[in-house]
Amino acid sequence: MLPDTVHKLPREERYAYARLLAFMARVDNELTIDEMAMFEQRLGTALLSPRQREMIRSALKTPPSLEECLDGLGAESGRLALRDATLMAAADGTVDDDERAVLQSIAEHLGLADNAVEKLLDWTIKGAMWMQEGFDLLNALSE
Amino acid sequence: MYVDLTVDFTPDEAQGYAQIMIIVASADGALVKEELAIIEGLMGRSMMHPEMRVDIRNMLEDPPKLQLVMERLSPVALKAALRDAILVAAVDGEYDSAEIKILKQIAKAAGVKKAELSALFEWVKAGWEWHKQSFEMLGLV
Repeated sequence: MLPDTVHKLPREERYAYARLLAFMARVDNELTIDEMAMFEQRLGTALLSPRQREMIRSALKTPPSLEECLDGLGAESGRLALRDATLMAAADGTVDDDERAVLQSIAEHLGLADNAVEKLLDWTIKGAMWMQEGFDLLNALSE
Repeated sequence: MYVDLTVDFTPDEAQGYAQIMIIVASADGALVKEELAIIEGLMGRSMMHPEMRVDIRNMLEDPPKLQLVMERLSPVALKAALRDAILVAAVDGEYDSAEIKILKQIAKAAGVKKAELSALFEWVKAGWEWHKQSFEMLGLV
């Protein structure tokens, strides 16, 4: 929900980006409301057409393979997809081993440094703290 | 950890909340893609029904009157709308005077004091910094 560049990517890559997020949402075989909210937020930010969103939502039921998802991603879209896959993985409050392994596979596919996923997880925690500060501010506003 | 209080809005509140985003985005006359993207993201995060999103998109050309929208919103919805309206106003890189005027009107209607409004602006700035770090981390700047 902050200034981003996902919407500037070519249409096919935005679609591939969203497919990867759908894959990520199903890695732990659970789809929580937190993950769904994050997923819908990212689909919106990517400015996918309503029809593409419908197709992506159905990919939640039958997710594509990781290889299929990665095939459609370029260098920039792949990195943004890894970042937002990290946000998705952490959305329910925990990143389990399966999710961590998938993130690592994506990072390797993109040729990123070994510690890239750890850095992104740290960044995600900072983001969660920032969001919490937003809630706290709202709660503290004058009645 | 990303479920926002907007998820619990009634359909009418959700609509009013999104209408305020439209009003702020349209305030400076030029509706840029970044503003569209953030509004779509916020509607997604609140898990608004797809049909309601279509109605909201249709208002982009002719936004509703702010006062009429604010009158329909509960104090909680109005405060959440203020918080997110600042994000929308900031997304194109600068706050336009027309946007600031609207944000102040919302703050007044929500009973938000000047110092509290400043704190919300600071929070948005901190969020920008946080988000920017991801681009640096990924070698995208």
